[in-house]
Amino acid sequence: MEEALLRIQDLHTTFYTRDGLVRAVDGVTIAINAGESVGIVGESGCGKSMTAMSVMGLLKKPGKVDGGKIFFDGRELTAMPPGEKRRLMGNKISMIFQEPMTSLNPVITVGKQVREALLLHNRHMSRAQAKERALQAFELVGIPDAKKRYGEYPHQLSGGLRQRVMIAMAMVCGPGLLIADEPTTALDVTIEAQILHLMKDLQEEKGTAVMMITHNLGVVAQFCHRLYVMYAGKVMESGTVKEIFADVGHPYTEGLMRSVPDMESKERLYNIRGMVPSMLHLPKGCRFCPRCQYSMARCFEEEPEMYEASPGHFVRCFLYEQGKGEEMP
Amino acid sequence: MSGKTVLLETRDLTKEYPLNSNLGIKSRQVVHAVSGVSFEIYEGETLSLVGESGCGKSTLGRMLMRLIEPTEGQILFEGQDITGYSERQMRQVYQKIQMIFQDPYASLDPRMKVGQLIGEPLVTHRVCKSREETCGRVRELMHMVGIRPELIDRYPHQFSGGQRQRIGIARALALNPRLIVCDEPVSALDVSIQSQILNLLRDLQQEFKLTYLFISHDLGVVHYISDRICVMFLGKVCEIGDTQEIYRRPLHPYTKFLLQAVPSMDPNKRQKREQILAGEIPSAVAPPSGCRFRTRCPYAKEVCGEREPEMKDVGERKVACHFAGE
Repeated sequence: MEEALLRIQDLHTTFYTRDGLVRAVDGVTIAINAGESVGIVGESGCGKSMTAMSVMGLLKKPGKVDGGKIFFDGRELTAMPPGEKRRLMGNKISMIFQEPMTSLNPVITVGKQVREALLLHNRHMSRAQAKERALQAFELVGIPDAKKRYGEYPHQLSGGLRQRVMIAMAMVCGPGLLIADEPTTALDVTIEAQILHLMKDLQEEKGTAVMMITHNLGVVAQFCHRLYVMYAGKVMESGTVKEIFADVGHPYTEGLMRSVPDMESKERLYNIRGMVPSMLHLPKGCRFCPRCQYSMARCFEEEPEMYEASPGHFVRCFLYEQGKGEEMP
Repeated sequence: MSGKTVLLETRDLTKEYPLNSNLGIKSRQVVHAVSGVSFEIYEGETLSLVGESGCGKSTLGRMLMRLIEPTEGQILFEGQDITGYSERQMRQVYQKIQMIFQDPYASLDPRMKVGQLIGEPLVTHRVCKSREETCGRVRELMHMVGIRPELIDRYPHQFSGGQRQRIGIARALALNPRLIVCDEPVSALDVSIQSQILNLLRDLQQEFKLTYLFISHDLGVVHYISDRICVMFLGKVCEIGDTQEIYRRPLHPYTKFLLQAVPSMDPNKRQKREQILAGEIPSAVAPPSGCRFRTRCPYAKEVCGEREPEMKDVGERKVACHFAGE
């Protein structure tokens, strides 16, 4: 098999808090191929954002990567000197966030911010060239009246336009990988649809791989090729979107899917009982077992590995130890 | 539904905010937050206000509670015009209308214990005669919303978001209200918790014959919880009618695009480009002339800019579009 563009191998990210160690990311392995869009799904606190922050090297104290390796384009990010890593970030790997207002500088015009990103990574580019490229990027992401908007400040733009500026900034250097952390969560649904389509167009046109972090299964179904489902710091299930949505594996994923009201049936919604465990006191054995409707005695004692349910579809659940075999009870 | 009684009614309810200039001088411009909204809420039903941010759904919800004073129009509760009620008169009304808020972190006083929080409405309205009675009622309420009564002496920060929302619901239920205004009650919650709260709200409604005005931007949630929906765009009502019928066959173009924009959980049903609404929400300071949706509407004709569409009856439904029902 070809070497993946991004390979996260057994990543451990720990927060050293006063109350104890919080293993926000606890042995996560993820691979993203060039040009592929991969969804990372889970509820708040499952470690999906921290995985991305670990890749970007944006972890804040008391968080620290203390195990595992991250490879990008065959090079090990985790062993790279800071200067070299900085040249890669924002250039070959870029990231967009949920709330564009907090990631844009409020006192610099949006045009200048995009231009700066270009100049930072292209030493030999003149200011005029950079402006030209930034304007092209504005047009590419569908900002109407790009020339006028170029000289405006973030607060003068709507949420949707700000997110377009962020995407322009992220894409202007032609990255191989775009990490999008809940990029449409703060947006209205008609604007969300616009932004998702824009991202999909750019991805297909430029061949950029996208790591889409979201809690919205609909966004994954619409946008991604493959997905990873995370729960309490671990990947519980991975596979293609088509496969998982048609034949869900892990009881947690199943619960998530059945909890979402689907605009068709009014039947009583399924509830995953209980709530997400505290990361300070994780249950023994499988971390989902206290909430799982299929849990067996064994689940409370041993931790399951990722078992291959069908080719390319992995599930961290004892029910799949012998492949898919029998149907779930 | 036949023989249904109207619990609450609004007539041409309008809220305009004067726009302050940077120097604090009032300018003549106003923000048209809600413009001439009329609807009825029937007893025992759930009516949802749906729309994107800035459509005026929250302002409307707050006006019903008189937390925001309407600029014009009337609110009738149980047939009485409460628009001009004094604060004292409103106290009577508040026993019958309660509210649940979006952010369970911001809406509970962090220095009060759960028991005090839930008991507060009982105390202010002097419903219970003794401390024991109050305490008993609080425990009963906690049980109803699914919080263990032993936790009565805990503080809000010791609870998760879902549990806090349950506390907010218990508070709202304390006075046996008839109508509960739910302002985005599940938007801040994770999906697995969201479904628990939605089921709780539905159970409580059946048990206590509650009426809900449910404000939400999430069309999946709205479909699940409501009997009827009222779709709003930029301070105006586009369409009111039965939930199932509207989802099956939306008559207003905005409703249609809103429903199409929701990312489907079916990966084989990918959204097509022509299903996406272009453009942005226009400014509420200078809304477009005529129909407020016309600048984004792909079907807009000349008449849409000239005349404002009136609410038309199309079957059981009301639609504000010149071409509805054609």
